[in-house]
Amino acid sequence: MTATENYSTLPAPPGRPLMVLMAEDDEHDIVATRRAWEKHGIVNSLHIVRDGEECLDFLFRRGKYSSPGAAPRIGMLLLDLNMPKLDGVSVLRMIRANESYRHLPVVVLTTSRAAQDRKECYELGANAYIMKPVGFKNYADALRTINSFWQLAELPE
Amino acid sequence: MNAPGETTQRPSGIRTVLLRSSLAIVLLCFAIGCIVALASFVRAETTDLSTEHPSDLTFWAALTGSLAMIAVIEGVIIAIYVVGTKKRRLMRTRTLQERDLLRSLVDTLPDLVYFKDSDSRFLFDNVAHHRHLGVSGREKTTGKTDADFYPSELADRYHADEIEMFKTGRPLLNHEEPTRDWEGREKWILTTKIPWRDAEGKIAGVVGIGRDITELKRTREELQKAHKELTLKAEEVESANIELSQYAYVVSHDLKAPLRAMRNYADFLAEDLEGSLTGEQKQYLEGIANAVMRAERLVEDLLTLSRLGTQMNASIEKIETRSALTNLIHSLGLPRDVEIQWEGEWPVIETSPLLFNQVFQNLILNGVKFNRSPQKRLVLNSEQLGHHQYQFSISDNGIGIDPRHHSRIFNVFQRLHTSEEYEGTGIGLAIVRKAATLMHGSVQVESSAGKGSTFHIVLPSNHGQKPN
Repeated sequence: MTATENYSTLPAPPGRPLMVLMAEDDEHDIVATRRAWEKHGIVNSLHIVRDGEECLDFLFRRGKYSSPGAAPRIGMLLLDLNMPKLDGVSVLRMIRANESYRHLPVVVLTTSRAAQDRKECYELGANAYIMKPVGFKNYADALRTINSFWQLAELPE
Repeated sequence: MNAPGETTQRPSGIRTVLLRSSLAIVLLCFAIGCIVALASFVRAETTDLSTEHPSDLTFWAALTGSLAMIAVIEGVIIAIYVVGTKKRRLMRTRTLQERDLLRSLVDTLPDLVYFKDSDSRFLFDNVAHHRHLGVSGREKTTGKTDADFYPSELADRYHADEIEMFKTGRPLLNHEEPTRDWEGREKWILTTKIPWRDAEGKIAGVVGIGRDITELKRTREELQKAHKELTLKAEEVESANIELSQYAYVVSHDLKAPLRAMRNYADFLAEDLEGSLTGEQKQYLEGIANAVMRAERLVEDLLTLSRLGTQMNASIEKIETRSALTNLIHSLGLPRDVEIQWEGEWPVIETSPLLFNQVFQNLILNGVKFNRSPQKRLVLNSEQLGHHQYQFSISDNGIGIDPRHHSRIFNVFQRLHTSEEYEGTGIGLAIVRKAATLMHGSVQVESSAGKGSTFHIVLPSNHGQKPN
């Protein structure tokens, strides 16, 4: 389920292309995300997981991601908070507890406006907390900005 | 402390002997004196004084004088005795009076009072104690022990306390213990037992006072039970409230997702069909987008309202009101034509920053939104009302509110305008009122149509303090 096609007419942004993992359960948001990727000039590759457990399976190469090559090393995680099985906050906690993912850029992308969620995410080491903008164009712009930014950012080896 | 008992004061035997002999000697002296005087008189009549031998006269005179002296000495002794007796009698009366007073005090007391010796045998006790034990007089208790009156588990318990006291010398103060009266009714008693010591300072026994606290204890237990029930009820209400507010949170959160989707799909269509849409078709798509936007705002406001009062707002902090509002206004990004004026002294208060910001954000945005003046102006004022109370006011030069609407504007879904005139969900002021109430404060409006509005928010300076 990796969408790598790129219909961008815009020049590719500077920096290295990233493998982006998105944890998102809402079917409509997935459609919008894929469309933003395809039609709004995002060059990075995208893999989508549907819940918190699948997200951890991917990151730790377990379950259906246990075979070699099934889960490539990712450069950024887009994390929804409200997900079945395991919520985003728990996923974030597990990720940061693991040595190899301590510096993985994690961008929380959610519809929750709750101050408590915001505080908790930053305390658990999220790199950014972004409310999904209303309107598709705004959403696509936000995704493109996030991608460009993290392509530029240098991380420790 | 003296062991109580009958001690009456009698004149001692020596005194009586002395007194009687003194009286006898006085009488004897008097009698001899009389006889001697009579004899002298008779002799003087019958003899010629010139022939009388002078030594005879001297003998009689000396005898009379000695007798007189003895009589005087005895008279003094008698006087001293009489005065002493009077004094003693007075003292004795006083002692008796005092004893009677003390006894009636002890017997009038409703508390049980008793003395016991070092073997825990009763020496003395009061009427209340007799009544408790169901006996008629002191002679029924003297020399007996608790074991003669109480079931063994109680008597053993009391005795153990006393043994411990005799060992340590430590008094037993206000000790709640069970007891049983002569009819077998179970009671609670508040006991104080203190060791009493003899002249050498050795513990000679125990003095005890017991107060019947059965009623008191029952009342206290009922009160505790009522308090427990109340706490339980309060917890139930609290958890119901939390559940309700979580329910509202989940519902409004789940409503947001399909709304976002609708908006997105309308946007996809607009994007894909760009250039080929007729004016009307474009309008329809925009209509969908706008309707969704309004629904989203509504859901967002409901979410805010439902979140108020849950533990998410629990943090209470000291806030500098003026700088907090300055930051808030800055973050709101008001249009350039809005002028803000500050008046009054702005205090530091202790409250929930989240609720505080929520109240002022809604009121400031309202003051700007319902405003058609070319130069929009908001006046923020603060003044101290009472000892621990402040009133914050926001005045605007907006369209104002007719006084007949004042009572309902703080209710949910109350709108005075169509959405064509002014955008809004009708929840904003309901949020303001709920937040103010949660801060133990209140909100009021002062306004008339066309004259601008002033909202007054009264808050305690300290969150724990509720305004009168």
